[in-house]
Amino acid sequence: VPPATNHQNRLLDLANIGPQEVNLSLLQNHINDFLEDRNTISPESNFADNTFETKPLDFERASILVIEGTYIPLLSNLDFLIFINLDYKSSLDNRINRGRESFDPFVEKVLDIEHHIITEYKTKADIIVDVNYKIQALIMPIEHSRYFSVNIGHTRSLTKKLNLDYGLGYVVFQLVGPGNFNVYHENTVRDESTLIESKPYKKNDVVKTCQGLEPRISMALKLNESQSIKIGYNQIQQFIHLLSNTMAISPADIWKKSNQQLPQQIVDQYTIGYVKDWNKGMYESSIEAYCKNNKNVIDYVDGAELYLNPLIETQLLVGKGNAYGAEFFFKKVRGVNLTGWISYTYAKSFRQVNATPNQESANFGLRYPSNFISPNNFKFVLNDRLTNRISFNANFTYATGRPITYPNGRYKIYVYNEVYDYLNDNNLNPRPGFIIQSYGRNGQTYYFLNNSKVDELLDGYSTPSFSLRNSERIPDYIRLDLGITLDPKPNSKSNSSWNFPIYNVLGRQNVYSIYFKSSTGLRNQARTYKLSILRAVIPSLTYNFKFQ
Amino acid sequence: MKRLIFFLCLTLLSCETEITDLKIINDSDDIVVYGELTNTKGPIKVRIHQTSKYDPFDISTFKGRSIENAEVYVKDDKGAITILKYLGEGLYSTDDNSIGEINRKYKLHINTLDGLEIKIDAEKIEDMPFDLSANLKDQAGSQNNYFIRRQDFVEFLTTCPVPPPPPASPTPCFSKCWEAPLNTQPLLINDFQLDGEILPLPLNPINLKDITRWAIDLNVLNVSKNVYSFWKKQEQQHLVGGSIFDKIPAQIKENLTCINKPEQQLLGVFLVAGITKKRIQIDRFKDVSPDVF
Repeated sequence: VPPATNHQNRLLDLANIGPQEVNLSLLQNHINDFLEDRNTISPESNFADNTFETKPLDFERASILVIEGTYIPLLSNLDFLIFINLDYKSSLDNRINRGRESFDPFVEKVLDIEHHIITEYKTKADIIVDVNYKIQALIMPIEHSRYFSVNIGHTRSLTKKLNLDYGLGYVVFQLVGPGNFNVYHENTVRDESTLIESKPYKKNDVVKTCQGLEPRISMALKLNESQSIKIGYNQIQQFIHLLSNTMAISPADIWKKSNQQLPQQIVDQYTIGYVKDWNKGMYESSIEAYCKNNKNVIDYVDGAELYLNPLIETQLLVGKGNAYGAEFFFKKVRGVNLTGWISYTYAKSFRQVNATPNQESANFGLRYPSNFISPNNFKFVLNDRLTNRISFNANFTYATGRPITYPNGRYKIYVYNEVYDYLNDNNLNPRPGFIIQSYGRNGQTYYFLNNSKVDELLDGYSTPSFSLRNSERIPDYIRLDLGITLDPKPNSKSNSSWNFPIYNVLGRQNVYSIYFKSSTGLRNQARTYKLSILRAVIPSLTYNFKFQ
Repeated sequence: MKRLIFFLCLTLLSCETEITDLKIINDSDDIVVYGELTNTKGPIKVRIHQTSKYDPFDISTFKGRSIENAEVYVKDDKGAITILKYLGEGLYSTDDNSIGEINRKYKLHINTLDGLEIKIDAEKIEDMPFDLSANLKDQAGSQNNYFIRRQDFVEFLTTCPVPPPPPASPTPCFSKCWEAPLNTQPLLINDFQLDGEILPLPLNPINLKDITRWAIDLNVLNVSKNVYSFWKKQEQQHLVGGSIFDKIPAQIKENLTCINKPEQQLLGVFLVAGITKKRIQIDRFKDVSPDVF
């Protein structure tokens, strides 16, 4: 209904305020017309005459449709919904500034009711902005998927000493709606300019189906009572991918499901292991080696922006990876006083992302270490009962620092301009120069030139050079924890104990993250910082007791 | 609540420290190339040097080693070769007023004394036929990326010679001079979603106080998507603050390749573009409303 009539309806009954006041189905038709490039005619309200006029909408030439209104979140097929989080006072001020309606206490009451209704729509928004249009919240859509798997397996003893275990799995993954999923031009590098559309899918509509077989086989050969060898092979399909930004103050991960642009990751893993018990099971030792080949590893472009990015596919690349390593383990299983174990792991893991028609390469197409690979990992755990009541424990960890990309140099790009060229061509650079100085007198500022020596003209765009991806490492992680436990006397009625552990006895400031700041107020800097967490020696005292 | 207390404890026990002696295993020995070739008359200039050691701060005196006496030439799509002569300090230039032609492709070739053969993929000079004012009219029907250089000239009044200190009155000897603050920060805009529209140039407001005249020279270059992307990444990398919401710092590469030593990293860009120049003049007494003051 026209504006004045609508106002009369509200005066009759405040319950008339709400979405029913707006012809939402007509608006929805206009959206559909826009999506199908159909021109249409829209009603336009005339406040002065309390009538509707018609206005043609030329959708054939339009590429973006912006709809503003109170009940817009109730419409469907919207790519993006922005909620302006105004409080009641700001809304009132806006309307007064707009000057279309008269204002009285009734209008304020209407605004109050509308505010209560609108607040419920906030959860539907993709972006929430404040009164100054600064982003308060950017809500990323939740991805929905289905996963089905069927597995068959069989274990068979080929001989008395040789066991065979084999099986086959079949897995299906489906990315489903609701949501908008980006479609890009084929055979062009994905970026914002190659986006065709953000295609809407309804609930349970299948966006992408990925499937594959998961064969597995393993054999165990018992050499004698204390020794055995195991070998195995399996293939795994992975449909959820981990993306890690390791160069931030607080390294964080996001998980991304396979979609039209990101196929499932396929891992082939080969293992071989040798286990030996010593001294009738007093000691246990093992060596295990593995090798992995990864297809369709997901990584990010150089200079990626991973968080709150609605076009995240433009930041992701598909590559390949391989990893190999071995673990050595020795354990004292039984003992009167002393037990513990020691382990050492050697591991390597690499990735490589080459350019394809749909993506650029990463790291110049060269192979680089994976984000979290730590080649040397040593752990030592000791428990020693010193007396009947006192026991001592120690825990030592050493791990090579994880890979990181450091700034390893600086360079200048000489963006020529005519002033520099003139000075250079006329041998005026370096040159004697002048500096502008000023002083104030009688409320006026006077300027004059003073002689000054200009050593060299700053004529370049200075920027840090970074190492190849993950070619450096953060400092190694070393930590020793010690603890003493005092148990109750053997004949004591109480069932309590004291525990005195000391965390990080060496007081080493182990690095949690290393990161860079260019935006420190001055341009062109690249200052490096480290963050250490729990960096001090931390003693504590615990009293444990049990109720009988 | 438990999580909040946990993170609060972690924060109290954590410490941020600036690393002033960053230990780097792989010092950079990358080669940096920068050159421009446009459709205006003027020598083609290319500078080639190596990166310097890492320094967290900007460097006013550049210490990167110049790549000297290399063989540098530009080859167009008809096979014509223009040789650049070495002028010193890593700078190479043509000795005539060379000019690029619209819609022709140009490749830069570099052969260093160390035996490295470097080539830069062919770049085409796109036309830049716009009438430039403070806005830019985009050419419809094509994706355009603009790299804009700005040079300001600011007029100021001087007293000369050096005046005596107050309260003595200065010698009445006023001169009009121009100051040319050097600016190497490019402006970058493109016509994404705005094909054929008028694009406003993001010129920062100028300070009109105590200024009589201000002139802004603008060179607008219609560059390729790759060159635009290179400069955009450079600018974004200058805004990194260590947050997870920032771009992840990385080496910025362009279309340079070393033919006979693929592992040699090459940085920089050879910019081939159509160019339009414009000088905007602002007279405080004619162009600015008295209300401003």
